Amino acid sequence: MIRLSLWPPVVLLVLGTFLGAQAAGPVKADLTQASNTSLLYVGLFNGQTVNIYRVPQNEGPVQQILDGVSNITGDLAVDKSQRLYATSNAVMVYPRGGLVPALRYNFADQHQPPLVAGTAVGSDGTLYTAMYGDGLVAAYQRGTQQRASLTIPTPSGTTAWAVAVDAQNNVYIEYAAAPYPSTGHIEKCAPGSTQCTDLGITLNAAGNHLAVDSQGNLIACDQLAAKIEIFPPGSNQPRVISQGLVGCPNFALNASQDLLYVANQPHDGNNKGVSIFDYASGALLGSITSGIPADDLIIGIALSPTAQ
Amino acid sequence: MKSPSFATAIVSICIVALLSGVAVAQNSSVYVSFLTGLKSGGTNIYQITQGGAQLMGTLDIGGGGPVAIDAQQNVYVIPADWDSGLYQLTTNVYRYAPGSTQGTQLFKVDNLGAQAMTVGADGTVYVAGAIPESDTYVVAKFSPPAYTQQTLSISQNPRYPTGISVDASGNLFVGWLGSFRNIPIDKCATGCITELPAGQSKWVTRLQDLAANAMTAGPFVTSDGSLIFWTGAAGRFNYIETVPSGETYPSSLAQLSPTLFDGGNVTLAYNASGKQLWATGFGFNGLLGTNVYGINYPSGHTAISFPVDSPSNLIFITGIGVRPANFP
Repeated sequence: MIRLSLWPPVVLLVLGTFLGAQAAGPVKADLTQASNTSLLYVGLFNGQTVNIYRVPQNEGPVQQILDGVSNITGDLAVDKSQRLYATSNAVMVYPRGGLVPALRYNFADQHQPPLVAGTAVGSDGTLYTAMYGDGLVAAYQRGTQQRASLTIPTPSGTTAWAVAVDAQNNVYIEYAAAPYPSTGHIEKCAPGSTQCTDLGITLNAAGNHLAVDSQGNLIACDQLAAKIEIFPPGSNQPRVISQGLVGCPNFALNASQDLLYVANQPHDGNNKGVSIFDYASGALLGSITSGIPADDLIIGIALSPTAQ
Repeated sequence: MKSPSFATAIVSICIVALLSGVAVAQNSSVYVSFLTGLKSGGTNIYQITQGGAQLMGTLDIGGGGPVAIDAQQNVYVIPADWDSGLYQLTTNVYRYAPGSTQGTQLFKVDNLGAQAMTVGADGTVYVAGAIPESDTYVVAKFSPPAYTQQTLSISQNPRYPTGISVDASGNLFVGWLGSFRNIPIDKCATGCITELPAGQSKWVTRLQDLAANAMTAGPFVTSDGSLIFWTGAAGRFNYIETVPSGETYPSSLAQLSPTLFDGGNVTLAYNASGKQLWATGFGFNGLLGTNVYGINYPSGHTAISFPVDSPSNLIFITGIGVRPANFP
C-alpha cells in the first residue's frame, strides 16, 4: 500500500512520471484510412526520411517514413492504388500512409549495388526504373520483382536519368551522359518494346524525374536552366514554368492536374523547399519549407493520389 | 496503522483520475536480470503498484541470461557463465515457484548460450541462442521430465535471436536481428520472424525484413495468432507492431519516442492482461540506471518507468520478465 503520509513528493513524482509519459506518447496522424486526403511525400537525402504532408494544407509534416529508407538515394513514385515507391538502393513499397515497408524490389538481376535514379509506375502496376549505373531502364511487372520483364538500354555513351509511362504504356526515357551537366534528351519507346524514337528534345542538363499528363504533355526539368518544360505531344517547343526556381530535379503533378509541386533546388543543394505552381498558368502559388532543412537534398517528390 | 484521512483519500482519487488512460497493471512483478561479471549476475524483483515500482528482492542464483515465466507463473532464469568474448557458455536453467526467491535447477547443457527463452503450456522450455565463440545459432527445446535437448534448428543464418514465443498449439516463433546472407535476395537480411509449425520440422519465414525490418525485440504470439514485436533504429524510430495471423503487414503500429533506449537493443515481456508490455535496454544499452518502461498495448503510451537498481559493477542487462505473463 502507498504510504499516503508521503503524498506531496509521491504526487509530484507520480504526476511528473505520468504527465511526462503522456507528453511523449505516440500522438501521430493515422494516414492509412483517410483516402480522401491528398498526401505529399518529400524524400530527404541527408535526413534519410520521407516526410508526409497533407495537402493543400500548408502545415508541417504529419508523419515521417523512417523504416526502410536508411539509404534513400533516388526518386519517389505513387501507383494508382496509392502505394508509395521509395528508392533506397532497393525500391521499397509502402501502402498509402504506411510507415513500414510491404514489398521490396531488390534488383537482384542487375549489377550490385543498383543505382536507381528516376522511377515511374504504369497503370498496370509495372515499375519502371532508370538504372543510372547500368545505362538502361528496367521494367518489373507487378508480382515479379525478382526479374525484369524488359530492359531498354539508353544510347551509347549515355545513361538513364528519369523515366515516365503514359496510360497506353508508352515509355519515355530521359537520358544524358553521366557527368553533370550533360545535355539531356528524351526518347519514346512503344509498349513492351526496346525500339525507341528520339523526340528531338534538348535539355541543358537532365533532371531526376519525368512525367506525362493525361493530355500526353511531357513534363521535364532542365536542371541547368532551372526550368520546368512542358512539351505538347509531337512538339519539341515547350511551355515553361520557372517563376522563382533555382532548380527542379524532382516534381509531381496532382491528381486533378491543376497543381505542380517542384523541388526548388539547384544541383549542389541548398534547397528552397517545395514550390507549388498552378499547372495551367505556371503561376507560383506558394511553397512548403517546414520539415525540409535548407542544407538537405530533396531526393524525390510524389503525390497520393497521383496523376494517372 | 492510521486510516487515511478524507484529504488524503481525495488526493488518491485525484491521482487515479489523472492517471486514467495510462493504467498500470497492479499486483504484477517485473524481473530484470543482469550481468555483473563473467560468472556473476543478479535478478531484481519489482512489485508494481499504482504508486510505482518497489524492489522486493533478488533471486538466489543470480542472473545474467534471459528470463521466462510459465503459465503457472513459475519464473525461469539462467545464471551467468560467460567467457571473455562475451559468449554465454552454458544454458543452466533454474525455476522459481511463484513468489519464491529460492530456485531449483531444472537442467544444464554445455556449448549453448541462451539469448531468448520461453516456456510452453506443457512446461517445455524453448531457447534460442548461439554456440559459444561461433556464428552458429541454435533453437532447441527441453521437455519435462528429463529436459533432454532436442535441437530444432542449427544454422549460421539468420542470426542474433530477439525473442521466442510458442502458442497453445505448439507453433514456435523466433525473432532475428538479421543475417549475413546475400543481402539482395535474403528475406532475413535486416530482421525477420521464423516459424516452426507444430509437428513439422521445416522452418518458414513468417515475416521477412519488411514488417520485421530492424527487428529489435519479440515476437509474442497471441491467442488469435497475431504477432507482437518491436522494431527500431537508433535515434530514428521505435515501433510496436502487431501483425494478424496469416498476414504480413501490421494492423496496428504504435510509434514510441525514437530516443527510447536510443533505438538500440530492447528486451521485452508481455503481461497476462495482454494490455501491457515491459521493456528495458539490454546488452550494452542496458547499463546502470537504464529505465524499465511499462508500455500500454496497443496504444504505446508509457504507463510507468523506473530505473533498474543495479550494483556498481553491472555490465549490462540480459533479460526481463513479467508475472503474471501472457499465454496464448
